[in-house]
Amino acid sequence: MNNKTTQQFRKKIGRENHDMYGFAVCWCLALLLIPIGELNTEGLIGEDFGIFHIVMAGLLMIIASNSYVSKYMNIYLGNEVEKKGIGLIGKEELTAILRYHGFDVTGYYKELMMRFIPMQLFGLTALTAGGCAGIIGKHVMVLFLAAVVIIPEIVFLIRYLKTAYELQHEKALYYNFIEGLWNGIYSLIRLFTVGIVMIMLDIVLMALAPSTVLMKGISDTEVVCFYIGGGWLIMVLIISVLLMGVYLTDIDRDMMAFSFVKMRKLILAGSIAVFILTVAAYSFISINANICVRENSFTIKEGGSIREYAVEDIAAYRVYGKDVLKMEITFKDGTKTQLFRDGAESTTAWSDKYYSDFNYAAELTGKLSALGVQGSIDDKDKLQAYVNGLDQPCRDGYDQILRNLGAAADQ
Amino acid sequence: MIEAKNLKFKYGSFGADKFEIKDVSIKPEQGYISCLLGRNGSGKTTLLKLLYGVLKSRGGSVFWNGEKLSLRNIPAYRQEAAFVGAGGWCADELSIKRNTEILSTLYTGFDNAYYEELIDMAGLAGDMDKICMSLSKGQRMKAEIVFALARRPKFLLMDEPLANLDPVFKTDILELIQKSVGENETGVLLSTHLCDEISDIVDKIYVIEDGRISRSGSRFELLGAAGERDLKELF
Repeated sequence: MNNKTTQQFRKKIGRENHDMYGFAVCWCLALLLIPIGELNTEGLIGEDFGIFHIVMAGLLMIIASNSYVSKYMNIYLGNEVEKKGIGLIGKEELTAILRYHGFDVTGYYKELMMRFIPMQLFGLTALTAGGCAGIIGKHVMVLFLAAVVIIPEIVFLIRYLKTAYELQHEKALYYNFIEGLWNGIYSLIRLFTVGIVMIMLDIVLMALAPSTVLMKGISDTEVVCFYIGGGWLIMVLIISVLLMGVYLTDIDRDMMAFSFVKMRKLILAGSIAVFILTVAAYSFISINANICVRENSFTIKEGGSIREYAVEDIAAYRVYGKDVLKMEITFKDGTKTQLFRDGAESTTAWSDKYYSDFNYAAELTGKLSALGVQGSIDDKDKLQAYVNGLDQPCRDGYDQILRNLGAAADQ
Repeated sequence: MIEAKNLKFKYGSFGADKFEIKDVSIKPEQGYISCLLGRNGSGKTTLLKLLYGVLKSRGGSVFWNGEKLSLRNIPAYRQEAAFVGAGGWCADELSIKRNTEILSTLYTGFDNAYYEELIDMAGLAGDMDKICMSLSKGQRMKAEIVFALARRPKFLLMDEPLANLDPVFKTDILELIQKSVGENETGVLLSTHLCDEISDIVDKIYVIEDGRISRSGSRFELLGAAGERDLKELF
């Protein structure tokens, strides 16, 4: 059995069991349960689920992965025989009939793993979108990004070992375990190649477009940083590109089994259009709506106007945020602006001087404290919880901000 | 080329003297019909399963084109070798037609046109949509043989292909085998204890007794130049 016959056999079984898309439903339910559960922990919908949603989502992913393998390791009898039991369709395991055939179990499972990549890409897309939108907490997002990658690999390995044990004349557990691991590694390499390369390409494109314009005429030795809005567009871009990845890898149409997504060309065209529009929109927003920060001055560009301020022009400031540091400053003329935005472009000199936004904010609040400018802090507990997971320089910066706020309050 | 050298096998782990196959060397040739002749329980089925890689030997090895048979090369080996008589070659609750559509995708050499020809020859054309479990033993055996032959294998291992069949079916099956050997140079090794049915078609005979090859040679060598002794006398 070579690659071609393996693919042919898999396609044949897939077509025979074309209506067995329960695994896709389970997978999508798991991805849906995560944001619902996360919103619940915020108290937004009904009672707090605790970690129930996390456990259930994990279980659903295991069920989905196992169900996917079962689709390709069973012959579902459909209309050929009377349905057995209530709502159940009779099935026969392929292992019962493949023992005397030229069936390459290792190659077959490798093929199955490759074809599950669209599901994993879709999971990565949904989780990334949820995380960027703030619906899913960063820790839960990271947990399930790992789960989307690892859970199917483990389930496939176990099913592979079971099938190999049943089919092979030699019960070579160690040999099969190594072969199964290689299959998993190969599948992960493919997944990361498709997913990560696409995402990195997004980010490079998104950064390249505005930075070439914004940094024109500015030396890298100047301490300058541009804070840019429209970062949520990165989420849109990632979604569109990963959906393109799902389309390109979903050769068996497992993800596109539902009738309303059968318009493949339309989906691809839509993804490409969204990709182009998003890059263009982000470039436009970055260039036309940003705040240029230097050590002692601010240049705000928005709505077609450009206004320049000095540190001494700041009347008040507010520090807040949950999973990211935010700072709102109010100038003496009443203008309010958000300092730390979704995106940033800075010179090398800025990066060398300030390890993070916390460190710049520490310096700024120090100057404002010396000027007697009143500041306030909201979401102190949430910020503290966020900062506790960061590097030491960031924690030092945050501590300095708190001291500066305290010093300003004392004046 | 398939060759077995010094094969040993026993079921289970205990009992040193309980080897079912004891130091067997055998080399069926392509283009000829070889017969594994022996009583019930002599080790015919076990030897065929060892040759096909369904069982792992406890000693000795099976070689395919000079390469030792292992987990790595068995799928490729089975593209060229077929086994008939296992009984579990297809899904019982599917029709012959659906089984063939699915299982034929496993083989690069499966010849659909030849398969149609063989189906007609075997008289199965009207049974293609019948569920396999509803077919008689003879029909199932014919379907299995036809599927195996349509793969155009270089070697065909057959375990008691004529057992419990009526004379008409036996004649059909023997014709199918001879056709394949003649047209495709297929090497056939079939096992049987029914000496009379195969005496006219076999080229080489291996007599297996108590897990050992007690005698082997061409039909004429074993039966003598006179040809009047029949195979029963070989036991």
